[in-house]
Parts: sequence; C-alpha cells; structure tokens
Amino acid sequence: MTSLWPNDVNNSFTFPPAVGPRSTLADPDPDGVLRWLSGAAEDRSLVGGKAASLAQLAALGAPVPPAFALTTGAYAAFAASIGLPRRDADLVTDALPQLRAGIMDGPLPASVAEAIARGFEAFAGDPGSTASLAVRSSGTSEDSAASSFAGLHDTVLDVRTLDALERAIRRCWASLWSDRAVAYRRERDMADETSEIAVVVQQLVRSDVSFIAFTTDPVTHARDRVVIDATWGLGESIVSGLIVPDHVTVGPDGEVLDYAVGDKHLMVIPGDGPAFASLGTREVPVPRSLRTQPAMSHEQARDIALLARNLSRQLGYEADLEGGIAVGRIHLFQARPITTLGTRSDTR
Amino acid sequence: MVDSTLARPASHFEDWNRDIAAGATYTYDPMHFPYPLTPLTASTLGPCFAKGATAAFHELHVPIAGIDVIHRNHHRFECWAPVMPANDDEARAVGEAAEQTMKAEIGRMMERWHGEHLPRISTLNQRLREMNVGSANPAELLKLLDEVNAIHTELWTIHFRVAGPMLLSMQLFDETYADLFGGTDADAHALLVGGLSESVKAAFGLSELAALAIELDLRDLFLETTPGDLAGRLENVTAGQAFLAGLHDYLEAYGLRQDLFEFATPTWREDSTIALANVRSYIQTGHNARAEQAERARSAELALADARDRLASYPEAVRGQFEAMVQFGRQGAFLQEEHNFYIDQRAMALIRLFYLRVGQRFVDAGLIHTPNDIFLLSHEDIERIVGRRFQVPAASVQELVDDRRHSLAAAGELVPPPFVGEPPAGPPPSDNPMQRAMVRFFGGPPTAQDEDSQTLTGNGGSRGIATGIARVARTLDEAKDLQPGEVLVAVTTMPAWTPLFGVAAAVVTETGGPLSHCAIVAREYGLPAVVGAHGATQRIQTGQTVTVDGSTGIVTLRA
Repeated sequence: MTSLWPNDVNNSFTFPPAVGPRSTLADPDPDGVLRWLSGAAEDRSLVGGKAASLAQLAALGAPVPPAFALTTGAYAAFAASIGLPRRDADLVTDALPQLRAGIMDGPLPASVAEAIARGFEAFAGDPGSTASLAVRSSGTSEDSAASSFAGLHDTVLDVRTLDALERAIRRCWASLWSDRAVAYRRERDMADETSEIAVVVQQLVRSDVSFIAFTTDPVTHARDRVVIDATWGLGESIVSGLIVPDHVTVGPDGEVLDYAVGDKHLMVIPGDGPAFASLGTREVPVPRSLRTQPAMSHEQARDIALLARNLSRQLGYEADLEGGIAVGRIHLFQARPITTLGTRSDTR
Repeated sequence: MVDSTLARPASHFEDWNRDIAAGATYTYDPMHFPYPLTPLTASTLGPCFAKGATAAFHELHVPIAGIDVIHRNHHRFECWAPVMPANDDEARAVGEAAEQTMKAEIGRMMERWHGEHLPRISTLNQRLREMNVGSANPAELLKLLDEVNAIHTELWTIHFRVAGPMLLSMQLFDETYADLFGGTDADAHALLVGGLSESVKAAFGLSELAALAIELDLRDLFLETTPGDLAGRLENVTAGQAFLAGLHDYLEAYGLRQDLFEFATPTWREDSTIALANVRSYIQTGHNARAEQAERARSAELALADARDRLASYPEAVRGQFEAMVQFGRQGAFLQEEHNFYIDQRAMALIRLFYLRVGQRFVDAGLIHTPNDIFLLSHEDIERIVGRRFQVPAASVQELVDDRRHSLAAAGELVPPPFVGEPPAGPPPSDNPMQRAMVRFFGGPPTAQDEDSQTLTGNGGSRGIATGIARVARTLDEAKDLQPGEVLVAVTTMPAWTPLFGVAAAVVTETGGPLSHCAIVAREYGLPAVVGAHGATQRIQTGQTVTVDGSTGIVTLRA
C-alpha cells in the first residue's frame, strides 16, 4: 500500500517485544495486563474504546504517538486483590470516598506493577521521546456518552516519573467510581453490570500547535471541504472554548479557501501550576504579537486536510480528528465519527 | 551706528504664541532642551533636525507628515505633525505600512548600522574635521557653511533611521517579556544589560585614568583638590604632567562630547574639568568600570538562562519569538548608546569645533572678541557678514552680540510653557507599539504634584530604594561636585552624564519614562531611579535628605 500520509515520517519509537515477568516470545503477555497499540486490532472489551480506536489508527499507519493500554484485566486483578465491588449493586452507600482512597493506596498485584514499570521504561529509554506521558481512561461502554461522564480526573498529562505514572493510572481507575459516574450508571439502570475500565498511556506530544479537523463542515454540512480549528499549545483550549481559534477551510484540491485568524490570547501548555482542565497542564497568556498571528501555515493546513480525508476514507465515516504539530511534524491523537450529521436539517 | 540690514534682536520678551500656524501644536521638550539655545544653535540645529528627521520618517513610513522646529524667547518648541488619513481604510494601510517597515528595519538594524550608517557618519565626521576654515576666502567659506548644514541635516536623518527601530525593539521586548512573565520593566531589562558600547568604553577609560592617577601617587592630590583646580595643580607636578598626557590621549578618543545639545558649551577636549571630576569620583569610590560591565553581562546571561528554563514547556513559536525579541532588544539597547556616541556627541562636537574655527575668523576680522561669541550670532547673521567679506562695522556686530547675550541670560529665567499654539489633542486614535515606545521614552504628560505633601511622583525608572543627600544639578558642570552616595537630582541626564551613575546612590530626573536614556543607564548601574518627576529640581534642595523608590516612582523629601 502506498503511503496515505502526507509526511511519511514514522515515529522512531521501538515497540518492546515483550512485557511481564512470565512473557515469552510465544505469549508475550500471559497475564493479559498490557497491550501495546502497535498495529494489530484490539478488542474493545479488553482495552476500552479509546485504545481500540488508537490501535485502529496505528494499524492504518496514521501518525499516532506510541501508546500502550493497561487492560480491563489489569483493573480486574487489582480490584480483586483489594476487594473492590465489581458492580454498583454491590456498593455500600456512601462508601465511594473510601473506595476511591482504597484505589489510590491499595497495593498493586505484582504482574500489574511489573507491566507498568516495563511500559514506563520503554518510553523513558527511547532516545526520541520527551519522556512525558499522557494517561487517559479508556472506557469499555458502547455508550460514548458514558465514557465522557467517567469523571474529572480521567486524564493526567505531563507524567514524567514511574511514581507519577502509577498515581495517574490509579486516578483513572478511581474515576470509574466518581460520584458523577456512579450517578450516571444508576440513572441508566446499569447497576447490575460489571464496572471495569482500561487506561491508555501514551507518549505526550508537546504540541506547538493543536488542531481539530472535520471532514465535513459541521455548520454547513458541506462535504467537499475540510474545516480546521487551530491554536497555540495543547488542544484543551479549543475544546473548552477558552479562546477563538484560527478557522481554516481547505477545498477538495487541497487549496486553502479561507484562513480566519482567531484571537488566541491564552494557551494551555504542559507543566506545573494551577491545573487547567486536565491535571499536568496550565493556562498561560500568549504574547500579544502571536495572538493574531496564524498558528499554521497553508502547507500544514493542506497536509492536515489530506490526512483527514484519507483517514475518513479508510475508516468509512466522516471524521472529527484531534491532533497537534510538534517540531514541524503532524501527530494524530484521536479520530471519532462526526455524530451530528444527519440529525440536523440542511440550512443553506 | 547700527547696520540696519543686520537682524534686529528682540529688545523685549516676545509673545510665546507669536506667529504660530493655525492648528499646529508646538511642544517644549525639557528632556533634550532644558535651557534656552544660542542663536547659532537655534538657527542650525532647528532646521537641520527638522529636515533630517522628516526625511527619515518618510523613508521609514512612520506616519509623521513633518517636523517643524521654532524658537520663542530662545527656547525650542517642536511640532510633530501626524499623517491624517482620510478614512479608516487609509488609516489601516498607513498603520500596516509603518508596522511592516519597522519590523523589517529591526531585523536589519545592526547590519545597517555597521554596513551603512557608521561608515557614513565616520565619513561625514572626518569631513567636518578636515574643513579648512582658516584659509577659505569668503565665497569658499559660504560654501563650507552650506556644506556643514547639509552634513548636519544628513546626520539627523541617519539618527532617526536608527532611533525608530531601536526604540521599538526595546518596547517590543518589554511587551513580550511582560506578556510571558509579568513582572516589572526592571525584570525585563535585567536581560538586556551588560552591552559593550562606545559609551561604556568611555567609562572604562575613566576607570583606567583613575588607576593611572593612583599608580602615579596622585590619589591625595585628587582627593584634596576641587575639580575646577585640578588641571592647574596637575600641571605643576611631574607626575601630574604624566597623568595629563594620559588624559590627553583619552580625550583624543573620547573627548568629543558636550553637556547638552548646545554648540556653545565646550567639549571635554577644550575643558577637561568634567573629565577630571569624573576621574576624581572614580578614585573616591574605587569603581572598576570593566569589572562592573563584565558582572552586568554575566547577570544578564543568567537572567536569560532562567527565562529560557521557564519557557521550556512553551510552544516553539513562543520560544522562537522570545529569542528574537531578546536579540533585538539587546541590539536596540546597544544602538541607543552607540548612535548617541557617534552622532549626538561626536558629530555635534565636531560641528561646534567647525563653528569655533569660523569664530576665529571673526576674531581675526576684529568683529568679535572671542571665538565662542560666534554662537551669539545666527546662521543668517554669519552668512550676511561673510557675504560682505567681513566688511561690516565692528561696533554693530558687538552691539548685536551683547544684546543677544543679555536676552539669552534673561531667557534663562523664564519658564517656557509646555506647548505653544493649539493645545495638544488627547491620545492619538490608534494604539501601536511605536506610540507606546514614545510615551515610555518621553514619560507621558507631567503628573500633577501635590505641593503640600512631602513626596514627588514620577515614573519608576530603575528599581530599588535608596536614601541620601540630594545634589541638585541643572548642568553637568554643577553635577561634577556630586559626592559618592549622594542622590543626583537633575532636569535630564544625557549620555555625557553616564560616568556619574557610578558615583551616585540614586538618580531623580524631571523628564523621561522607563525607556529614556536615564532609566536605561540607571538599570545598567543597578541604581534606583525615578524619572519624569516634574518639578524635582525646584522642590528638592541640595543638602536635603531624600528617599528614592525606583519601583513606585516616588521621591520622599525628608529633613
């Protein structure tokens, strides 16, 4: 297959061949605890929706930063070892805070601890890596809305040490038991279903520029163009509506039809300080000279549009892509179907 | 008998608003011109500056339609007429052109300085040195006078080719720093100090002369003698003569400088009193200018490293922008000192020396008693007299000179109004960094002072608090008595005053903002400074104890 991707520069990351103390060439992960998202399709019930999606993108050769998933099996082993309830129905009322505390402090099973350590080492040892990680919950529910209600602490960015990684993973597990998540499940009569969660640990790209691209204009529903929102730093500031991003429209032949520069007066960057949205990020002002300067070049916009269109074709749906540009290279973080199409009447 | 064709001096004070073009505002600039100007200075510096600056602004698409300079009662007033766009579109186009050009100029300002401006200034300065006034016949002399005006005009054009980008680069750096880190101007400027300009090297030379004096065992002689008597005493001892030879060499390189923009004031080469006073101060305080500059450069690099650390997680575009702004800010700080050394000081000094040679011709023709009196004649007077081949009644020239001397002395007692003509309009409609830079250079309109309170308010120019005995100095001559640890209080401090910053405990000026020369040099020397404290030289008395807070801009008067 010829390359689908405009910048055919593969990440130099080397996926480790085996993890876990009992791993062998034949069965690298006998405990089913950790899965590297390196190109094979992955079972959603094992790694969660987010990881399965990343695995699919990686399999298509998209420029996705390397990642592994700590499986639902890992969570199950941990839950069993500290006696966590598996269903909401088994919960004692008002026990949630203690339950979450137990998740933060309880001892990890050896296989899980070992897998996490090996996974961290693979990132830390890579000469091309920035040794900064993003840790995110990857829910198994088919209902994507359920995933989004998993809780406040379901994402931790700029994780740099093994200790911090372990803590971040525990936070993601604990988010399964946030008040909001439990309430949501109760409302939907899911109390008898087994609650489980996977976690994605991914190399954090310190995006110089972040973008969200749509292969269909979400406002006009025009399908012959790609619409891109872009800003400085991490994408949190676009998603949260913190700033007015640049709004770029790219036509079917890759020509930039319009570039509307936004007032990007703030940006979200990794690091210490009052956390913005996700832990490990902070909100800082943008120097005034860059506020109304285009965040992307026309060439970058064209490349992103090409990436989006190719990917959409491969995936078989109109896609909403999130990604970033770092050190001049385009990275993809997420791709989802645009869900609002077809439910809205054309208003032209 | 008075020659009726010679210009008649005003025999009484004229109305400040006499003959002002309708609708024009002419403002008084006490930062550069705190004193009345001699007729020769007024009649040359005025038009040459106006023409030269206007040409530079047009070249650089700065939206100034023209600059006009007038004098009333010997005091200088300037009108900077802005370009008036007909509509919003035109205003936007004008603004964009100005911004694009300025940014391009900032990008190449060092290249232009070394490749174009400095060589041209050196050529012009050399020409000024070489002009043979002594053997020129009247027709040739008239040509030389014209040529000097042309050179003078071109020097101002070059000056403003440099000044715009230089000021803007520092403003943009300050804004970038403030946007990223907050903090004060002092924090931003900590990254810019320590440059090696000619002005800084001039201070090295003084340090070295101080060391020479100590080596020659002249320490006690210096400390026992008032600056005015130093030259005389040094001549009388062998060691002193050796020192004076060293001083002479120093002044060959660094003596072409005067107090303010007034051709009548002597250069350091002609009157070494101020240079000797500076050396004396260095001996007293033990300042090592070289070591101090090295330390400043080191601290600037540390401050830069710290800033880079703090920016490590920032997007590449931001880090790149910061690096560019630091580089240009440093270049701007360097060029501010450097252009001043070669144009404002050296070139103006050479123009003075040219006019002094013309003055000698007038002395030789028996028309004036001393060459320095030439400055009491206007350029038109000189042209007319030379045009008549010096054949004019000596008495009438004498009368003219005496009259001018008196009217100038009287003008020194006047307090010029802040403007003449149309009252200044409010702030201009568009806000851009160049405008902000100008305000921070000049310091904005004077803050009203509460006469009853024991405090004086200005702009914070350099952080820190110091208390000391005030030394009010309205001229550089008065400032030479500054004792170590005293607080220097002046109307304005131009680069010639820089060595004093090594002696004072703090500085207060009546004029200027955070980007003014005084503020920048005070930051270099780590001295608390309040600039733009209107009325300071009147409210504060020499000998009074004052506390200067350079962060808040407040001066507190004590006993």
